[in-house]
Amino acid sequence: MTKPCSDRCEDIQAQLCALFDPSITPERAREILALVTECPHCHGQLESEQEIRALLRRCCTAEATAPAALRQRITMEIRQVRVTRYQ
Amino acid sequence: MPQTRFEEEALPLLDQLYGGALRMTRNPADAEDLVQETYLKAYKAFDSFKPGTNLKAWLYRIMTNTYINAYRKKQRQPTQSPNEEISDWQLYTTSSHDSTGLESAEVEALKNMPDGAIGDAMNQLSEDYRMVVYYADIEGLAYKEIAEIMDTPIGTVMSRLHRGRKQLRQLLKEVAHEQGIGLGHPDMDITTREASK
Repeated sequence: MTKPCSDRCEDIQAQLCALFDPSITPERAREILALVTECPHCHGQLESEQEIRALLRRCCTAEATAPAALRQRITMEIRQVRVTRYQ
Repeated sequence: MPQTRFEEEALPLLDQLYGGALRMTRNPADAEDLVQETYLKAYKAFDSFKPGTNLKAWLYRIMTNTYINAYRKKQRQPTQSPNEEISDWQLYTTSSHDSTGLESAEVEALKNMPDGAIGDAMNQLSEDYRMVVYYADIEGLAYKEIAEIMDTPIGTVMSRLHRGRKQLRQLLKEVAHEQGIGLGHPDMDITTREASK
């Protein structure tokens, strides 16, 4: 991995956090990306972050399948509440 | 009828909520109980859900409160408190590496790891850090929504996220190195890296 170029890199790192907030405006995202692409170190960091996020998502979603019995229990429970409440 | 809408809209989110509960409780039996209780509470309170807002975030908020009120008290987890203190001290002392990012060789090594190893690394984070990373990086929720779920100011979300991501990357580095994968790669050779500094 390339070394940080300057203090400016640290500023950009802080802005990467904002980039991963899905509520960021497209304009702001473009501004940050423009800064990031200018610097090989920051660009490398962004790529590494994106890969790690993809990896985490893959691993955590692979584990996360609710057992069928749980789904059934919840559905039954909800319908039971509905019957007692609304009939 | 709103109650039918609940089944149509909230039930499809069950896998995701279960995944979050698994991360929160770190144990499948507790995760099932927590999700079941969450759905029942959410169903009863569905009138207070504002249509057009994020249903998943709303469910997570209920789940977090349920967890705090019931499960956290019940659970006996001696590993919990020391983890709160892993923090930056360990980050700076246990590794000679740059702790802000992973080398490409490490990322490649992690891609070949079984999913469980990465989940275990997640589970080593303290609860607040673990969940904030989960909501942001796995669930892709907006920081503002995370702040509402965790009932904290957005600044706290940002700082927990920063520290949590940093700790997790440090743990992932260790996972990659423990496996010996990537050793011999120029990026991974600590002696040459140190010498070239």
